[in-house]
Amino acid sequence: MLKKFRIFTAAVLILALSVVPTLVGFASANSLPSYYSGTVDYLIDIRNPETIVSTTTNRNCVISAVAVKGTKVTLYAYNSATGAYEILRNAYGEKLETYVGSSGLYVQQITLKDGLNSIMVVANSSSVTYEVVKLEISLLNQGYMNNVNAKFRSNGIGVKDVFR
Amino acid sequence: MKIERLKSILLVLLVISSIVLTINKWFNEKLWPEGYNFFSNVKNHIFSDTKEKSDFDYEITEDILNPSKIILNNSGSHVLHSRNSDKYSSLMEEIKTLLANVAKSDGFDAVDESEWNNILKSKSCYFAYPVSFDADFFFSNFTDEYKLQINAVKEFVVCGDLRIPSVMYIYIKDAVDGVIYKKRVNFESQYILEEIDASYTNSDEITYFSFELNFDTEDEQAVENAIVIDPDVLINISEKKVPVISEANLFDNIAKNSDLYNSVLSLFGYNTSTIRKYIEKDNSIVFVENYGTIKFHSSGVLDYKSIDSTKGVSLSQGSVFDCVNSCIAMVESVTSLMDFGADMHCKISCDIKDFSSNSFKLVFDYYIDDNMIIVPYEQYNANHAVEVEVSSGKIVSYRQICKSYEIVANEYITCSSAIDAIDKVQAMGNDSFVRVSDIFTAYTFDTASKKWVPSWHIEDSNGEISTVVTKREE
Repeated sequence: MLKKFRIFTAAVLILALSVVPTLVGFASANSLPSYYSGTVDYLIDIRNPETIVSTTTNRNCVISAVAVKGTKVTLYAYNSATGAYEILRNAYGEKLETYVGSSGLYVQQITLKDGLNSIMVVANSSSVTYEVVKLEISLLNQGYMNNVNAKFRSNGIGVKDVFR
Repeated sequence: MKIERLKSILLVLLVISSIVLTINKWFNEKLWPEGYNFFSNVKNHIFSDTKEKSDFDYEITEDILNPSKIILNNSGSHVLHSRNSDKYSSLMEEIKTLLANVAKSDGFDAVDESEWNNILKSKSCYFAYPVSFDADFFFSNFTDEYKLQINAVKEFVVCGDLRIPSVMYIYIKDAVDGVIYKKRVNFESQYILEEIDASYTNSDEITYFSFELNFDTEDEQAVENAIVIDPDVLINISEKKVPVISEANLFDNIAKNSDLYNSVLSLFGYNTSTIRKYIEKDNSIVFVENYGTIKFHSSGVLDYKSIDSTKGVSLSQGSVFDCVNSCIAMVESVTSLMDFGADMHCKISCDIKDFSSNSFKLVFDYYIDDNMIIVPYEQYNANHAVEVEVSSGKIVSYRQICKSYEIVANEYITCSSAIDAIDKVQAMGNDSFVRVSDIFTAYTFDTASKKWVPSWHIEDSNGEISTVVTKREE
């Protein structure tokens, strides 16, 4: 009788433990190793930046994507000091994690630091089904841009002409 | 014989005096049957000292035809200036001179959409109108000479030249075929360039054009997108705080407000001293003339109807566009008589096309800032704040909601981001594919609070609009 009760209790515990993550959601890790990679490739399509490696002069960078409804999208930035990707937070200290709604549209603006920004986008639909996209965004600082501008202006062409 | 002659003269005098007295009595006491106004008409023609009704004289209108928003773009940041912004008027003054220069010159080059998009992403100033205007009509408001090959205008962008301060570029997107035209103009506007430079700020509202987010294409990638948003739609990705507004009925006591109704009657060409009036049970006041009636509904609606389509209010008898301008000026004149709130303004809500005749219908709506006040059809039996029907150059029907809308101090609604609004609309529907042509906040009437609250409105490519009700801020 006691044996049956133990088996029953164990079964209930296993069941409960397997259900809990889906009920409370799967919490995003605060930091992930640099080798972290996904298990699937059908959860999210990054629309902006258009390429994995990009350069911008705008400190405010927008990451847009189309994702499967209900997917949780979390943003991480590489920290060279720790050698790991750390979760990004907004001005109020909240994690940049969003559940994608019925439209499938995802948008998040982030603030870039000067130089290279390694951003990791993690899209989860469950604890075992997730996709990882790594972006390399370089921010050209204003001083550099001013120098380039002055150089081009002296030659009679503007930076705008180059990027046009 | 002499007595007989005197009798005849006396008799004639008596007959004449009786006729004069009868006419006098008729005209003073309006002794004619209900709805019949023959004598008033006769009196107007014979005795009235006022001149015959002339065409509605107009001056070129500006405010009603101005853009709904001006956006200063600087390296991916977009700062919106709507009608109530301080910089709106100054930017408009500058741009009018530029448009006059542009209209006189020819030699526009067609460019591709990527150049248009690059200009919107870099330092530029974008002007967007709520409706499209036939190009002839649009440029006729700035100059008499017009040489461009553009069909219709709804949006255009201007930007400076980094090397030559006295040169600017204007890009106009043809609203008919979508072709983008570019023109180099010798024009120096230090003000516009300085404002563009100063616009790179960390605004509370974060907005992007759809093309910047690449939501305007249906890429065949791993994830199918259920929504495509037209490229020039501005998407607010942050929350937006919008004030609540209240309304006041301007016809609450209209029967006693003779100054107001006499001014309106004069605009419609009515002789205020002879027109017959009666007051209805609900305090609405009705004025009847031979060929038309004007009713000031106590519920706040002005309603003019001509009985005969050939006898309405005469507009300018020049070209079709003169007639359109004249009609718009009429609306502006009636609107200027009303004691409307300082923050509210009226804008045209239908495209101005190349009308083939002097018969057309124009509609207008009220705005607070860039948020339209959506007219509840069930309450007014109308979709717009002002609806005017013109037949053969004459206004035969005119209907205007005469309510003043004002911002309620310290009462706001926080609207979620536009993406959240689209999610809600999509969740309500059947998750089928939708092409979004516009996303905007507009005011709808909240029956519980009796106030107007902002909510998101999403228009699809079929012109159907879905509304997302927002929660009141606690």
